[in-house]
Amino acid sequence: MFNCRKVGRFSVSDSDSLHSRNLADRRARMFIEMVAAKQRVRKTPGNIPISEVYKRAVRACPSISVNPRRQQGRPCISGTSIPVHLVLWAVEQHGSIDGALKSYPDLVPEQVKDALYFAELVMGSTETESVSVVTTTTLTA
Amino acid sequence: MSSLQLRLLLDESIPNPLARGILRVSRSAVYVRTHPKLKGKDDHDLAKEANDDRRMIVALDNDYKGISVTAGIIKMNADRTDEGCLLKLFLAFWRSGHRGKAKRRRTYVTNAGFRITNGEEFVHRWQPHPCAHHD
Repeated sequence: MFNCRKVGRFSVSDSDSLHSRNLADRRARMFIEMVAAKQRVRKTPGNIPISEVYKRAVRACPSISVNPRRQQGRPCISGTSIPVHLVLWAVEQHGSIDGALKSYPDLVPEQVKDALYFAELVMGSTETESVSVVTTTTLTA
Repeated sequence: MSSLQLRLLLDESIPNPLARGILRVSRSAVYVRTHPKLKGKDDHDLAKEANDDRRMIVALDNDYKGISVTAGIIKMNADRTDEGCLLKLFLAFWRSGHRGKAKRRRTYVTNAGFRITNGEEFVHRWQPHPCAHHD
């Protein structure tokens, strides 16, 4: 009879001392934490950086621009310092494009629609990398 | 004792209803959106104008990091709030008796309270929260 506990890529047999088991458990926990941290990193297909995703989305939305001198480089409505995320916030608050125009009266409906489309393009091209890990397996021989 | 006279410059990102509310309590404030000379300027040019005119910048979700604003910055945070609630938070800060401490410093007004940094840190927590419908 041989009992082996597998935690991630680390395994411990019954013959190991308590010290080495604790060490293996600690290493396994570290490994799991490392994988979890990696899972949290936002990736795009083919590891495209988010700046590239912005560039592609900007090409499709003429009312949106990205300028490092405006709003710390966040995507903004062209010619203004109104960031896209605040236009979305205004739409969320008022529940309509016309409502968002009450918050930012200088904008026109097409610019608000472009902000929504820009967000759609960015969100549609990002995904979270999924990694599967076997945490505990018991083998009996 | 710091003077309570703060001259404000409201960034273009500040929504119109919030700006109108601030302009009611601070008559000397200037709103970039309605100012022909300032409208459309980028962060660096706006900071230069604010420095020349000795005005504190009030911005939403932008703290002008890396840009020198000598009179100070008040950064409001739009996270999970609406314009009405943001105005109440600003007014609570304005009437807290501590706004004089914000001169030439960075102030962060949030749902939890306000924090004045860039020197000796000052933290004030809302008790009770200025917005009645807040959890």
